[in-house]
Amino acid sequence: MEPERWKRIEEIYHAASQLPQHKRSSFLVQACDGDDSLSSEVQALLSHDEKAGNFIESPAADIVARAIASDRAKVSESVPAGTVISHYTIVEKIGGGGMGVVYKAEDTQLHRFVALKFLPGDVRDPHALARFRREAQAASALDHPHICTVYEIGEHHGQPFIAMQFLDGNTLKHVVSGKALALEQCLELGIQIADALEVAHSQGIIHRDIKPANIFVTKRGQAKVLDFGLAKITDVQKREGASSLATATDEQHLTTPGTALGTVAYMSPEQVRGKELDARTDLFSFGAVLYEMTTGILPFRGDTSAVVFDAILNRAPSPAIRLNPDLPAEMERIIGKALEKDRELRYQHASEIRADLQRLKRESESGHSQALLTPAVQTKWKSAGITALGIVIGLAVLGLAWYTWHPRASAPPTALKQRQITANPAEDWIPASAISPDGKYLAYLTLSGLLVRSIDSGETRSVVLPPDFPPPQIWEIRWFPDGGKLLLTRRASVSELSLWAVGVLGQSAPQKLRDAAAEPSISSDGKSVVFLSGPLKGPHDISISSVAGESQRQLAPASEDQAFHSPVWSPDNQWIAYFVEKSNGTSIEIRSAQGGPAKTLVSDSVSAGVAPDCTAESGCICWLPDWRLVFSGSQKAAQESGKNLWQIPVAPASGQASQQPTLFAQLDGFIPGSMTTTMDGRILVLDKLRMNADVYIGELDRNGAIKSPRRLTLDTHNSIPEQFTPDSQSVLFVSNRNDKRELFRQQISSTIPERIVSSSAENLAFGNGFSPDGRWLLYWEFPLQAGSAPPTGRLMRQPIGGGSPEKVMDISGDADFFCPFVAGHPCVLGVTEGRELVFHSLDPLRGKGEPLGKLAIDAKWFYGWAVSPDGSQLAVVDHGHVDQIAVLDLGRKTWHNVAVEKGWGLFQSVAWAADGKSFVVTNLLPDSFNMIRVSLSGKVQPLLGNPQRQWMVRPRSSPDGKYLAYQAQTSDSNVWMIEAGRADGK
Amino acid sequence: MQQPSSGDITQLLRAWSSGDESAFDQLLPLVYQELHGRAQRYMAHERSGHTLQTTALINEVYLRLVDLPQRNWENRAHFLAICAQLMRRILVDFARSRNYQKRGGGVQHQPFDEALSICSESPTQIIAVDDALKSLASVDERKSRVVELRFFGGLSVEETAEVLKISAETVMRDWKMAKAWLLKEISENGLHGA
Repeated sequence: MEPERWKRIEEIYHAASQLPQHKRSSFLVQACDGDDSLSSEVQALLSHDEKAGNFIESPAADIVARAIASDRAKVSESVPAGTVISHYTIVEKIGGGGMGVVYKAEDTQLHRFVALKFLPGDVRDPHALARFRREAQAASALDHPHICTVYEIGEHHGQPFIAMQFLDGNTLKHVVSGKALALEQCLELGIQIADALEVAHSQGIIHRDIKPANIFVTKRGQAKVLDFGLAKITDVQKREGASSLATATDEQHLTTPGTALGTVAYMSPEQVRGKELDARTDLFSFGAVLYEMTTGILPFRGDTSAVVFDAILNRAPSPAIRLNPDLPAEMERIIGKALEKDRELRYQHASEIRADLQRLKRESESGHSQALLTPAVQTKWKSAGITALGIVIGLAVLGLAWYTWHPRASAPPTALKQRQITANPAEDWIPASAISPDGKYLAYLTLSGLLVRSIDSGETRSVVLPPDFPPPQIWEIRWFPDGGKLLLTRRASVSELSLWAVGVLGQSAPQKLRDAAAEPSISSDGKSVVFLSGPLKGPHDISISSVAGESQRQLAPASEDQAFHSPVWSPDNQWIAYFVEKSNGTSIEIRSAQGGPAKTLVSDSVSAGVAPDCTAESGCICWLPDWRLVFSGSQKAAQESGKNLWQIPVAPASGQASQQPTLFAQLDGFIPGSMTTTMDGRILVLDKLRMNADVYIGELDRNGAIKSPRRLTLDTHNSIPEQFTPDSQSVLFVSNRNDKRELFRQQISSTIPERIVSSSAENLAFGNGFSPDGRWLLYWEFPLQAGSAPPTGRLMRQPIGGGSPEKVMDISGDADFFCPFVAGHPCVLGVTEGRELVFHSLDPLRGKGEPLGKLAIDAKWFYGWAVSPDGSQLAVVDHGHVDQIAVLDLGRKTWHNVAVEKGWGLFQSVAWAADGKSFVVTNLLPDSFNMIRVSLSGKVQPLLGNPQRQWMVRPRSSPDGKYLAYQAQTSDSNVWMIEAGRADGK
Repeated sequence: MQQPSSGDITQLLRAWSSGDESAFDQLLPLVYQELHGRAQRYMAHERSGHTLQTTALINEVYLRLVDLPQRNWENRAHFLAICAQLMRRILVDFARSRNYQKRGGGVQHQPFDEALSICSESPTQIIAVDDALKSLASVDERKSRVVELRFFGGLSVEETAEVLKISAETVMRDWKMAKAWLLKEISENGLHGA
């Protein structure tokens, strides 16, 4: 091509691409002056310009590196069951990620199960492999009940592996996960770990990487320290460049946010300084582990490794006793001595700290009469013969422990992509937050109130609110564009949401803008607000008004068959995008802010299987100034469910998406909420929430009050209480701890549950229990892949005395059953049919029996019911019946209402006291969840109230009347910042 | 592994840029090591959910291998330019060697819609871009170098401007048009060749 012509093409191309679409063709006609080939040449470039998207925006080296990574991942993750490696046959993969994979395997010579851990990377250098073997074998010589035994070091196609003891349980990291453990358990595990360290140290082996992820807690409550000596080997490998992979440099350490912190948080000061290490480094790290076990919090925290290092070297951690006031002062002293920065002042030998822990244990035992868990107690249940139920050999998900084994070498050198900016514990989780338009301040809600924090200095002040505006009533926070005021959604009573403006400095009284409104978004010119309007329970429409609350107009009408969420303004304030949930799926729609028809922007049918998902939290859509719409969604086809953040560019003129959604940020199982961005769109700020249901148990005193309830189930998955066993000594609960729902029982004095029902293809539903005659265990089975349609499952009966389970009946719809404690009365089956809850008698042998009664309920919301202990009556509560409990006399088949004292909010679940003389009800008040006792005449005795928005449901009385169990949902939510990058990827 | 010292690397790069093919063989493992390191980090990140910031691999090579304080390589721009060429060669060789091409004839014979999928990042894309870039060089040498430095070298706009001694704005304009041109070239070849 002639240079002149090329130059001409270039000029016209650049000029045209500056113009809006509709002006281009006329410009081309004029500029090309009849030269059609010139015009079509430019036209072709322009059209490819639009298609370019991310074309070659990632450097080629990254593309290749990703291809290598995905090849490797395939290699290391595709060892199928049955594969023979050396004398091991792979059974299944039990853990692992990018950094090494662990398989359960059978040793075909010794006929035992082993865990095979493949180490990352190839070891092509035979010297390196030999050295690795030597070191690991020295460590494998350690034979101790609290050290995971290494059987063999091997190599398979250049990948080294370790064969070790197969353990059943969880890592301590899983067990702790942000929550303080009971003192007894801390002492028990602590003594065992100290014992393991003592033995290893006496043989000259230093662990160098003691941390919760390297400590396993078996189902019997035994600690097992993993990976002795491996840290040293990996250090050696690293230094000598044998594994040149993942050599995280010091600079990377210092700027690495998030994930790497877990690996540096337990380092000793001498380790941070890179000094020669001796056994005392392990004692410091052990101190950090003890601190975390007793408080649920890391002693040295920070957003980057540099901050953590500074804390380790220079700062004293907050006294453990302040975080956990129940801690004995002696425990505080022990932890303090282990965490001495100067190793000369620290414990010098593991035996010293073990002795101190043992002494404390003895003292606390003589102080407490409560029995600690002992093996004898645990095995009692087994000897009763009930383990003959259809039990699969317990196999816990080993999870996180396995891929973090290679800690420092694998420290991921992430760029500052996602950064956690608050570090609140679950007890003080953050329900709402918003970033200021200039990006300098974060407004967020905690137990201490509504706070504003400077992002740069970290300085935090509270927004002063009047006494009649308690902060727990705040549901949502937005900044006005001028940065001087906040827009708050307030829930002042159980059924009302309203919008309020409040000065950031609390300089003036909060001003109410509007009633019956929520999920507001303010236009960038500060003039208009779009929000959901209507009663709390809906249906809501989407309305727009001036920020003062004037001239309201409806944008999208309310209807019963769809729910709207998160309306947001486009950058030019011409469009509104919002989330829609209908019975047939979810979508994001867009409408002109002036009104007009809706267009679908995202739905799983038009968006390559990415379904928007906003059901849990408000603020799940954010429109960046560069026109990328960021939303929370899940990919239907993806194996791993769970939400992530997706982005889709929207064309300003047409309001249409020009391409499919792409991943914006991964959320690793967190639920996103409160997404906000700055005026320049450089960062996006959101809350990342995790929820966790656990079984709690409390003793009841003579007056029926609950004494110091405690958490019974101690893992990071969900546990839902079902019923006490007839002897009142154990609680049955359903848990998904093994990734599907199974039925467990746990002694109330124990920390270790025992699985009693599982099956390979079915998922247990909630609502399981013993028949009144004690002969049967009844439970629900549902197909694992139950869709959104009413599930069809079956009720099974399992003979307590042993034998295989049999089907009682098939069931479709939302069903539950309750059995009275005393024999001679039938169980009751309750099934929702439309908006009615229909009751029938239920017999373990004959199935569904005669109809007993029915009641119209608010099935869209919450309801609960329970049969009285003597089987003569049944009680129902739901959100649709305020201040009352409906009672069905099962003999006469007649209903009556118990009118409850007013003002106790909405009731969501109910239980009968063991004596049948009162109800235990969980209820929702505007700013808290509560549990109350209601007498048969309707008088209220408060039992538990918590301001932490800890959701309580499913109370269950023990047959002997001494205990109450219930489900409490704890949330863990912190604010994160994501660098939004740019739409063009630069 | 015995690594060449930084002085050696300087020599090797010089030798390679003046046509000594044996120097390439000695440089290759160094770059490969970095590539594998990066792959490893991707693997670590896939689990943790972070995406890796695309720091230029060349910069990593540069920082690691060149004796930074003494800066005995007289001209950083020159170094970056040669590195980008080296990277292009290695990455294209890599993509070809791994049988990432979908059919025997390579990308020229892909049907149109498949050519469009070239937008999705894959080693195939690298081969296609390399081929199209040769055509671009004959029309507009500077634009082809912009793409070489940015895509293969992983350099930022500013670094590219520094190497080519042009303004950052010009780099952006060249980059925009080169992308459209390359995409057009790749799709058209697909159409004609099918």
